[in-house]
This record gives sequence, structure tokens and C-alpha cells, in this order.
Amino acid sequence: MNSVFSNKKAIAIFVLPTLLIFCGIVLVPIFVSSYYSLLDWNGVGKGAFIGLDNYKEMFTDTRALNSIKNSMLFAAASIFIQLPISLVLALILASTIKGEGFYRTVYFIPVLISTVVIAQLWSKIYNADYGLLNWLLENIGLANLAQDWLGQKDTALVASFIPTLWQYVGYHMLLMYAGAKSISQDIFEAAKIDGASPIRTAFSITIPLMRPILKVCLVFSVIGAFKVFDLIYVLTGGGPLFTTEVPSTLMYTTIFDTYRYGYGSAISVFIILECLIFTVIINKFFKTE
Amino acid sequence: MKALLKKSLSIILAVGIAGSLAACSSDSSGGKSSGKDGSGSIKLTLWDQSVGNTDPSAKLLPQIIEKWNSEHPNIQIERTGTTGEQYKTKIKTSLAASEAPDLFYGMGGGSFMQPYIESGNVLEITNYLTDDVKSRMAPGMSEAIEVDGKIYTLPVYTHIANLFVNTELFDKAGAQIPTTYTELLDAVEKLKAANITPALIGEKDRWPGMYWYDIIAMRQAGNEAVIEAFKDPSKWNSPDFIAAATKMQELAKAGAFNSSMFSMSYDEMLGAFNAGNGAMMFQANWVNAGIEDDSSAVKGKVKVIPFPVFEDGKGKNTEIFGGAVDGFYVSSTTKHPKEAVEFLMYLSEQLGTQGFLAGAGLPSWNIDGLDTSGLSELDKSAADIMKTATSFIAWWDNILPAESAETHKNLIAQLLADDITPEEFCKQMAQLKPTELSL
Amino acid sequence: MSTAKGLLQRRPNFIGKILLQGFLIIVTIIQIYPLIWLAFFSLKDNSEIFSGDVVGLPKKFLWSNYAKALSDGHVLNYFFNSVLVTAASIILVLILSAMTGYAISRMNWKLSNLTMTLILLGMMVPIHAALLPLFMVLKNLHLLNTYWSLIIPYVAFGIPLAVFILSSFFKGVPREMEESAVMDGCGIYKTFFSIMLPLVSPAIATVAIFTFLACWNELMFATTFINNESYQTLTVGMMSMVGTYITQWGIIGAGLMIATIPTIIIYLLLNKQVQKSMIAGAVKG
Repeated sequence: MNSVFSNKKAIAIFVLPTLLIFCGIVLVPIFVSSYYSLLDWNGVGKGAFIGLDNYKEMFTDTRALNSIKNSMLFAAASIFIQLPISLVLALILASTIKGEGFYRTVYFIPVLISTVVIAQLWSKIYNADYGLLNWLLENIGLANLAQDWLGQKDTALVASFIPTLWQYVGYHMLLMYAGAKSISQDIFEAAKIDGASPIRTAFSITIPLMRPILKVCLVFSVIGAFKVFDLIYVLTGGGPLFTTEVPSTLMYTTIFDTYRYGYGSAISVFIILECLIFTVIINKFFKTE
Repeated sequence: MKALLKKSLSIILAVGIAGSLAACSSDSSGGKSSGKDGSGSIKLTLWDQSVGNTDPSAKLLPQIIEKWNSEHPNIQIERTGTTGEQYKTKIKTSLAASEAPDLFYGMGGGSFMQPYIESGNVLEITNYLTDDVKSRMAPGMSEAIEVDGKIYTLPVYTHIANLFVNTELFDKAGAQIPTTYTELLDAVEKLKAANITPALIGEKDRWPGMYWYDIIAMRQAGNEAVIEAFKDPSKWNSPDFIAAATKMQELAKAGAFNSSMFSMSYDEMLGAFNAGNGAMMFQANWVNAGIEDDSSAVKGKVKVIPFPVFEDGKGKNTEIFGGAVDGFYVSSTTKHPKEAVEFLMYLSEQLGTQGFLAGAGLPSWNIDGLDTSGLSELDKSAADIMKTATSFIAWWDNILPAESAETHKNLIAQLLADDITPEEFCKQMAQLKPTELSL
Repeated sequence: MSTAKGLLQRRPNFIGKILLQGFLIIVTIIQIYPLIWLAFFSLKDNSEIFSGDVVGLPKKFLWSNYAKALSDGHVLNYFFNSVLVTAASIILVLILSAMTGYAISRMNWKLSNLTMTLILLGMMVPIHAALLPLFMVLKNLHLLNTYWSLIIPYVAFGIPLAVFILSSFFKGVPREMEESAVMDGCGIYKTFFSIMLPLVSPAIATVAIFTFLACWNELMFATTFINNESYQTLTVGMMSMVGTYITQWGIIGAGLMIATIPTIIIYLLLNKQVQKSMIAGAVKG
């Protein structure tokens, strides 16, 4: 039996083609970026080797530290706000409710729509002069709350988070839904016969059995949070005054606007390490629990 | 180590997959797909970012290229137009990888191109230029494009920044079009009283706000002092520049700028101005075509004037912000430098003169004998202002080295947000790097 | 007596169901709103778009916006390229990741954990920093300006997510399924292809959807690795249209709508597959 599952040739056939493409396209750039991160280099010509100076700069520069703090906040918001919403929706839909297929299809729609459109939509919602949000506030008598949501330092961060969090609720929901659906129906039948309430069933049966997929979602959302770029870049460009800056937007401006390829690469290596560390922690957490 | 890694891995990859791909990748080649085909004709590639419908170059470029191609069967041009942000990543990546097209647009020149000139990615065209070409340029142009006696690009248009005022809104508010700083403050007050946004800034993109500070500093300190400070940044920390920063904050505090400036992009600013949602805008003449477009609500109601002078300032209204040379460059990897430069000369002159007539920018070439009757009032006023010029300073973010340019823009955003004092602003300005260009 | 009791028992349940449906419908509106907004937006003119009426129907339906957006003769060509690149990427990602995910989660070899971690790295790479090194790799392979310059990176960057999802689904399949197959004399390949693969079909459909989205909407690689217009994808075409009609928002809206509709259609098709396979999976599991 064991010999079948440790068939070296089969393993090679299953794994090597993947690794080959993966190494050439993904690992090489990582290695090259790590090398660039040790240089003082403008992207063309010769770079000067400066050791870990770029990293030292990153950990002493308030702008970089602030961007890291923002991405941590974003990760926290994903874990404690976005994922619970996705889970609740997934569980409701998986419990064979009327219109299950319809809701599941529709809830995923924001994920389908390209960032360009989502960004346009939200900038029209937030717009200070003719935006939907201010219009709503004025019409329910809260005109004094109307403001320039993306242009003010105290509201910009939250306002720039919401679109991404909202867009990917459906993404995690679909994963969790698929996870919940692959649990054998017999278990639910048994729980029903025992008279367990739906909420109890969810907590003591469904969620524990969904652990592998919950881990996937957790890892995805943390990695997604550390890498978040598109919507924030389009909506605020990291502004006003760096309040919405995250490491990836900082990296982009560093490389393409200030020509500091070395420093930008250091930030990208940092993002990779940050993701890796948190993935390991999440894995440990799921193993010990 | 880097080279070894890259090499060995790419060999692995190549062995692994290239075989199966070969059939499909037969006509592959990079950006510099220059080469001769069977008939002996040369193919040159050109990249630019002129695609916008309000950008007259977008219409002219294909026409000019078509004409060239039909007249030069041996040198065929292939053009790829890419929009703004994508163009930036595309051209920078290709240049860094030595895969640049034969000719490309150089985004305002200056510090954008400086690293590529230094690293030899751009062809020096000095020796290819004939006196005949130089003589057809507008006066002073052939000197303006020289960098340490070397030439890398040819001028296309000249752009200068001026104050655009919406006369209808000024009339409505009973405000007078300002020629001095006091009058400017007065106009701001009257416009505000009439519930009109006095001036628009798309500060989300940061450079529109920079234009304001830069012109204020030029009016306050005079162009000469500004040029000195570019060379010796410690001079940024001096009374004149502090006074300029103070005026900038004074305007902001007086409510001169739209309250939504930090969330407004450059494009949105143009949209708002063209919809009549603001009375003033300080921009370069590349916005003319949009203001005069049929879709604009302010067509015919806008006047362009020199930025007001300051009672206590050293700058005159003949000292002009702008005049940058932003043109096309030839890649040093091109296989046909002679032909590429030949086309560069044709393209720059044709686009420069026809574009001028279409309102894309002021001419950098001799325009004697051209029929300028079709020009809009805005274009004519801008040309008149330029005729009075005694000196030019180009966009500061092109003069400052790239990183310092970013810092400069960020500092101005902080100034506008009242995050730093004028003194603190100038102290940090003094930390900038000196310009790498010869001014 | 007994009927009254039955009613009482059923009532909270009934109300609960209505409340639940109400809640789901509200979420539906929130989630579907962007699509409706875009549809309206694409039929308006500038003055209406900037008038502040973000919610309303267009006063006059400007179908001409669509005519103008489609007047660029390349749309069909862009569309074909996008379909080709995306389809090839999905197929390759599925084949490679299913095999690798299976080997990692169900087969015994020393380096399986390390391989998984290595592959996970791929999800963590901020692609903007990888752009230049990747460009060099593709240049050295002489793949720039071909369909492969997009397919290969899309596959490579799609693999991590796919392997991750698939291997966690494989983990959820009871060991007995495979063991009995092997007992019956199936080899490893047969066990994998005819026993295990069908069991994770919900995951395969899910991976297909995610890969599809990533490829279809990708912009940066598509602009940077392709210069030749005949290989350009729909996203690039639409972006250049956004750049072209800077001031005519209605036309931009129409272009974005044209790019979005195929996504919705393809999603609906794949989604049916997800549904079918989920039901099938649930029955078998």
C-alpha cells in the first residue's frame, strides 16, 4: 500500500513540471529582487552594493513604518470583519435555503468586476461634491457628517479599506461555501435527528469540519492584506499625506517614481517575509488547536 | 551570482518548455523589433502615450506616421500608444531591460530621462543633426536642448503655465481679474462670498499643487534666485522662500482652494473646471484643447493671464514657469540609428508645427508662413505671453532629481494641509539634492 | 390543540425565515449594485454623470456610447486573445496544480512540506517588484510579444493559489476511498484520475473561476510584455479606451460594460458547473 503512495516516479511526474515553471517565473524574480534589495540602484546602469542599508532605512523611516502599520490594520480588519461576514453568508447559504444558487451567484459578482470599475464606483460614492454617501447623509438630516471621505486624514484610511473588504467578501464566501458543501450530508442528518439547532450545528459540526478551508481563507486574507494595492492606489494613491499608504503602494512609488529600485526591492522582500511568517503562524495555530 | 542564477534557471526553463513552445513563438521579438524584412525595408518601432481624445497629438500622430510611411517605403514606422500610468511602467521596464523601442516619448525629459541618459540607454544624436534642422527650430531652442554640449532629443511643443480664469464666474462674483497678490486675495474673498470655489487643485496627484507653490516662489524670489537654489539647495532655506510658503498657506487658509483638493485628481480637476465648478486654475497650455472642446461648459468663457505679481516680490510677470522640452528619444539599442534620427527630425517638426495649429502646445519650431487664424483665443493669449518672456524655469519636478522631486511635492501637500510651518517646509527643502541638469 | 401547538412551533421558524430572506435580499442589493450602476452609467452623458444623481436611471438611453466604444475595430481581436490566453492558462493551471496538490497532500515524500512552502511563496510576491526580473527571464527565453509571455506567468502565478485550494480539498477526502481503490488493484495514476479527481470537482471548478478572474482582469503583464496589437488582450484594449475618451465618461462606462459582460457570462456558465459538481460531490462524499 505504502509503496503506491511513495512511488518516486509518480511523485516526480506530478510535481516536477509545476516546479519547473514555478521556479523560472516566480522564484527567479524573488531571488533577483533579494539581490537588488542589497543595492543602491536606480533601475538602470550599475548599482552599488550597500548590504542591509535599505532594510535599516525601512525600519527607521516613519513613512515605511506607517505603511506597515496600515497593512497590519488592514489584515486585522480582514480577519475580524470580512471573514466573519463571509462565514455567516456561507453557512446560511450552505444550509439549503430557498434561492441558495441565486444568492451564491450574486454575492460573488463584485469579485468579477474589474478594479477599474470598482474604483470608479467608490470614488463616485465618496466624492465630496456629488457623492452618494454625502447625498444620503444630507437626505437623512446628517448633513454635518458629510465630508471629503478620501481627502481627509482621519477618514481616508477606513474609507480606502472598505471597498477592498467589500469586494472580497464574496470570494471568501465561495471558498467557505464549497468547504461546507463538501461535508457529508449524513452528518447533518444525524445532527437534525438529535435535535440540534442550526446555530449549534454550525458551531459544533460545520465550522470544525471546515477547518482546512478556513485555514485557506485566513491565509489568503492575510496575504491579500499585506499585498493590497490596486484599489488603494487608484482611490488615494497612498495619500493624503501618506495616511493610506501600504507597503505595496510605497514600493510602487519608490521603484517607478523615485527610481530607487534597491529600496523598492527591499520593501518587496519584506512583504514576502511578512506573508511567510504569518502563514507559518497560522499553520501552527491550526495544528495545535 | 545574479547572472549565474538567472542563467542556470533560464536554461532549465528553456530546455523544459521552449521545445514545446517553439512552434507558437516564431514571430516573437521585443520592443525593438527593428529589422529588415525580405523586401529590404526597415521597420522602426515608436512608443508614445498620446491616446486621449482631448490630446490633439493623438489625432496627429497616426496621420504623420501614415504620411511618412507612404513617402518612405524603406523605413516603416510601427506605433504603439499606451495610456499614462501603464506607459510609465512599460517604458521604464523596457529601458531597464534594454528592450526599448527604437523611438519613444520621454515624459517631460529632465530628471525622468536623466538616469537613462547617464546609463547610456539613450542615443546621443548631436552628430546626426544638420544645421538645416537646427535653423528651423524656434530661436533659442537648439541651445535649450543641449545637455553639456550633447543633444539627446528634439523639441516638439513648448508648454508654459498660466492662470486660467473663468470670466463668467468672476463677473458673477463681481470680482476683478487679479494682476497682483492683493487683488488675488481680494478676488478669492469675493468669489467665496458668492459661493464660488475660487481655485481648483487636483492635489491627489500632488503636482497640480506643486505648480502653485512653484509659481508663487518664482514671483516671490525671482527666477534667478530659484535657479541658484536648484544648484545649491541650502538656499531654499531663505526669507524669500519662507515668504512664498507663507503666502501659499495664506491662500489655503483663506479658502482659495477647493475643500476636496486632496481627493481630487488632475483629471477630475480638469473636469470640474470645464464644468464651471471653479473660477481659477493654474495649469499649462495643454489644458487649452479640453477647455475649448465642444463638451466643455466653459468654452469661450475662459481667459488666460500671467500669474499675478507680488508687491513685495522680486519676480516679474515676464518670468515664465514652463518651457520644458519634452520630446521623443532614440534608444541606443536601435539597429538603425541614422534612419531613426531621420524620422525623429521629421516627427518632431511635423508634430510641433501641426500640433501648434491644432492647439496642442506652443511651437518649438519656426512657424513663419503658417496660417494661425484657426487658433483658439487661449492659444493666442498663451503665445502672446510667451513672446514677453524674459526667462524660463521648467517644471520643478523635472529639474529636481527624481527622489527630491517626490519630496518636494510631498512637502507642498503638507504645506497645503497645514501640517508643517513655512519655516519647517524650507528647512526640509534645504535637504533636497542639487539638480543634475545644467541650468 | 395539537394543531395550535404546531402552529406556534412553526411560527418563529416562519418569521425567522422571512427575516433571513430579507437579510439576504439586502445583501443581494449591495452586491449587485455596482453592476446596475455601471449599466446606467454607460448610458448617460457627462452632464448627467456629474449632476450628482448617482442612483437614478438615465434620462435618455444613450446607446451611441456603445456604438462608439465598439467602433475600435480591434475589440473582437482583443476578445479572442483574452479568451485564448485565459483558457490556456486555466487548463494548464488545473492540470499542473491538481497533480501537485495531490502529491503534496496524499503522497509520502520527504520534501512535500518544503515544496508546499516554496509554492506558497508565489502568492506573496508583490508583482510590481517582480516585473523587471520577470521581463528579463521572458526576454532571455525570447517569449516577449507572444501569447506565451502571458500564459506562462499567469500559470506560474496561478499555481500557488490552485495548489493550496486543491491540496486542502484532497486532505478532506477520507483515506479509505483511496485505500480501497488501491486494494482493488488501481495504480497511483488510475487512483488519482478516476477516484480522487472527481471527488474534488467543487474545488476544481472553484480554482477555474479564480484563475479565470486573475487572468481575464490582469493588466500590468499584459501591457508590459506585449507590444504587438494583434496579441493584446481585452483589458489592455479597454484601458487604452479609458485613456482615449478621458472626458467622455459614458463611453468609458460602455467600454467597461463590454469588458464585464463576458466575465459575467463565463462565470454563470462555470458557476453552473460548480453547482453541479458540488451536488455530485456531496452525494458521493
